[in-house]
Amino acid sequence: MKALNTNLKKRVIPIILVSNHQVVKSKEFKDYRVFGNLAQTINVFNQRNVDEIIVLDIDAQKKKSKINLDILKILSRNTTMPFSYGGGIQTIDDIKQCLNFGCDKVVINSKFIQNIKFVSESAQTFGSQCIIASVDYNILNKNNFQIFSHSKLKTDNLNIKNYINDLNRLGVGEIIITSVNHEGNLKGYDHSLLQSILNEVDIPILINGGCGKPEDMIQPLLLGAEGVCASSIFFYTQYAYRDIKNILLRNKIKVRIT
Amino acid sequence: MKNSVGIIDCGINNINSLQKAFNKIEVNTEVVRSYKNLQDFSHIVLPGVGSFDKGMENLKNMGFIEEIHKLAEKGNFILGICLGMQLLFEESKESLNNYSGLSLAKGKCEKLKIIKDSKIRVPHMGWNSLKIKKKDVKLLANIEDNSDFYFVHSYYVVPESSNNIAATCNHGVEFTAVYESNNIFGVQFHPEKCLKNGLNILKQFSQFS
Repeated sequence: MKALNTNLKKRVIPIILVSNHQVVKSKEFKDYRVFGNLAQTINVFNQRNVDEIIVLDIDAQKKKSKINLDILKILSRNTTMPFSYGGGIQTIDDIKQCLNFGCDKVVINSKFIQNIKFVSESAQTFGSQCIIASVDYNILNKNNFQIFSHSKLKTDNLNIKNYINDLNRLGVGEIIITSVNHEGNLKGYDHSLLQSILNEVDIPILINGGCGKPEDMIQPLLLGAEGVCASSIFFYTQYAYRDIKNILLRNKIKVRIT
Repeated sequence: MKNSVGIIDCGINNINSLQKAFNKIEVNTEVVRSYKNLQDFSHIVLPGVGSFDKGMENLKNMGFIEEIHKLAEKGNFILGICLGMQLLFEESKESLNNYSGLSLAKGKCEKLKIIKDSKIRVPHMGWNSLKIKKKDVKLLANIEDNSDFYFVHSYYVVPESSNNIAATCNHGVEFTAVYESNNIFGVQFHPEKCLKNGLNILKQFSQFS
């Protein structure tokens, strides 16, 4: 049998959180610190030639507001790499607007918890490849996880593995899983949910929350995550984007070197 | 005929990125929202985000299909990007309604296979390298073999004749990433998101004469 292979590179994806037009960084989704202006931050990532970026409007989650056109305008004007936007997406028309602003993909969290049918609706209109689901979770205890909702939606009766299976079955193209407990702590990713999810679904999985050094990215990528998302490492540490790629490469992980 | 590139807007597109990319290489572009204006352009780009059926429905409802055929026959240069590339072909497994494609290229679209217990996940998302299959591919004049390009798709084209396969990419299968025949071209990746290499391809296309 012919060897099944791919030359697809594993992705290292900066996540940029925006609140009130400022780039912020949080810890466990609290304690926000301001890091500066969005356009400038994007330009830095442009220069570093990163694989792609994800920009999330965190005010939308808390204030239940609509998509943020100001952010989308800044993204569309300044970004040279592939980018995704999330925050306040409620309707098919919202997604269409994001794509018209040049987004390659959109990130949806609360809306899917509220209405799982919106997965198939959006995937059938735009194709699975541009619909990313973001799932935030709390670790209750070993192998017991609870979906975390920024919008204070009731999630107690949602089993996370069933939920992720539904997202997959109904057509999302990619899922970002974020451990709330690890978010912003720089102590490494939570792998406990990743492995079981990789076994369950066949779409790309991105892991997020807790990366503090390039070495933290190795294990999830070896386990089979298609990409690692991180934020603090780019703002708080001395590692340059290229250093991270070189370290991954030395650990026999295929990444794009530019 | 204007010496600029016409970009077809049939509703769901990331036109904005494409225009920005052409701007960078100092090529004038205009967004074409009515089929009546399409004949003004010697070079036509058919971008596309979305599903095959939605793409064909929009082209049909906006009256683009006949006009595209007419101009293709006249020899205007046409470049399909991502879904736009797939729409150039005759049919697609993605179509729930058995819609025909534009049929400017012979062949069909298949779905990338998920391979259990392998590393192959679908959609195919991210940077993957190009294997150049033919010498003197005009579109790839300045591209080195094995350069990385940005892909976001679940379906791929299978041209009837392998002579038209300019470059391939591996993701479980070796699929056609660049198609060329006379005046019809297609790329499965997003050149507008691929910096220097992507801009090079757009530049080559805009200079065809």
